[in-house]
Amino acid sequence: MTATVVTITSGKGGVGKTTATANIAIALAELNKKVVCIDGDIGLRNLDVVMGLENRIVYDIIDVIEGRCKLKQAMIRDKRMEELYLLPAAQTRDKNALDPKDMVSICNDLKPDFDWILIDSPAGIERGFQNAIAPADEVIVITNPDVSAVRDADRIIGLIEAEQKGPARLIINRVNAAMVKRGEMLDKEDILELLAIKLIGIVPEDENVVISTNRGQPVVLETKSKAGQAFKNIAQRLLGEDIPFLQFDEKEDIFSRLFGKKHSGGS
Amino acid sequence: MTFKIKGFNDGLLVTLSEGDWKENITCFLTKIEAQKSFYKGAKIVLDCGGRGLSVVQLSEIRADLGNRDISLFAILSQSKITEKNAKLLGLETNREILEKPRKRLNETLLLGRPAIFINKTIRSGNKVEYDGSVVIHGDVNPGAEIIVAGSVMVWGKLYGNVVAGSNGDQSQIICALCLKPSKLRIANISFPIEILQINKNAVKAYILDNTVVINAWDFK
Repeated sequence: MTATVVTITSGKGGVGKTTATANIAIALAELNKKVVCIDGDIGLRNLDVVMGLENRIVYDIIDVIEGRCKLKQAMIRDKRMEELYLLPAAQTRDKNALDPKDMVSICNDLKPDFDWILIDSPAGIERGFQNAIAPADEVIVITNPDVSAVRDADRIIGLIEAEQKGPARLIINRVNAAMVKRGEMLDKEDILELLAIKLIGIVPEDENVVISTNRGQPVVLETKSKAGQAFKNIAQRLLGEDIPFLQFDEKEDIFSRLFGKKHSGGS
Repeated sequence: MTFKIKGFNDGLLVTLSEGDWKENITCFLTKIEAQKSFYKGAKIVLDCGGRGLSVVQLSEIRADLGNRDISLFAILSQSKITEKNAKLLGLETNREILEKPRKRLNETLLLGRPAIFINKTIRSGNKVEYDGSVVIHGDVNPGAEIIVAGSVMVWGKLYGNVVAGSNGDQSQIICALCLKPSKLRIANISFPIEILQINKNAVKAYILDNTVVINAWDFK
């Protein structure tokens, strides 16, 4: 078994890197893949919270690098999935505690035992980003349908190309179908035209994401969530399956009718 | 019946002595016949001294030289009549051609640095700086910068910051298939943001008499 290393990054903060990492990891695990997530956000760790594994942390990635524990000791097994692990970040250190060489060597140690290694990149274009991108075999750029997030995505795609890690694939997260329809939000075509990379998923805006994040129960586990379904689709596309992108407008109409309210997206 | 031959940058200067035109020419042509290979392909400037020559005489000598694969491209003379007639035949009459090296076409094209070709999209945070011209096959995204001494040609959409003629040369141009830059400047003249928002198809931006112009890029 040789794992594929996928780095999820965005440039801008708050667009959904951590949420996407957690959800894609769980979706892959549900498809019977062995998955490990690495939280690359040293000093501002969140992935453990989103995955609901915060209180299980004993050692972290810096402890591994600095030799205080073995790699296996720092890895936390998910409470729901047999074959899903988290390698948490250190909270009391900063990005400079790690360098790209360390990330590459950790991934090389993990590769034989897993199918997928997902790295949750921190925001920004500095050391943390460089650490996260160094071991990547594939890169997923995540953006929101707003001008500033897309601008930052463009910047980060340029840096990924410069590191010769491209071509990256794109997730457009938090798409509000109603707003797109009213022309108040950038639509898929606008974004793809500017960024000129392949799309791997569109995730609708979904209130369930906030609720599930607070509960540490990623939305992909909720069968009814549209966002959860979108993340499942992304996981299947990562596995090379050809899953069509669901049409926004039709969904919007059906859901408005069903729930009689301005719901939170289609998929 | 003598003549002098002197080389200059670009050809041969042949100075005919005073005396009968016909004899002089015959003598010169005989000399050429004797050294065909030396003269073959040469460019000749003929200094005819003070004599007045008719259009017929001049065109005859040009034809005679042409038949021998020699091009006559200038006539020098103190005679106003000769000068006028030479001009009528499209010949150079200015003595300065002897001093100024005449540039061949390929040399003219290579003046300055050769243009560079970039076959990709220039993304936010990337900067292209160059002291020649640049051709981009791709887009120039918002947040990207192009600063060049020459001209900019974008076979794609231009959304970023662009400066052409950065050394102050107002004759440089900026072309794009879609022009909506955040900033556009040629030499020291910035384009007002209002005219950048009017998005026509393929356009060419340039400076004419210190004013900005954006026109259809129609290749004429």
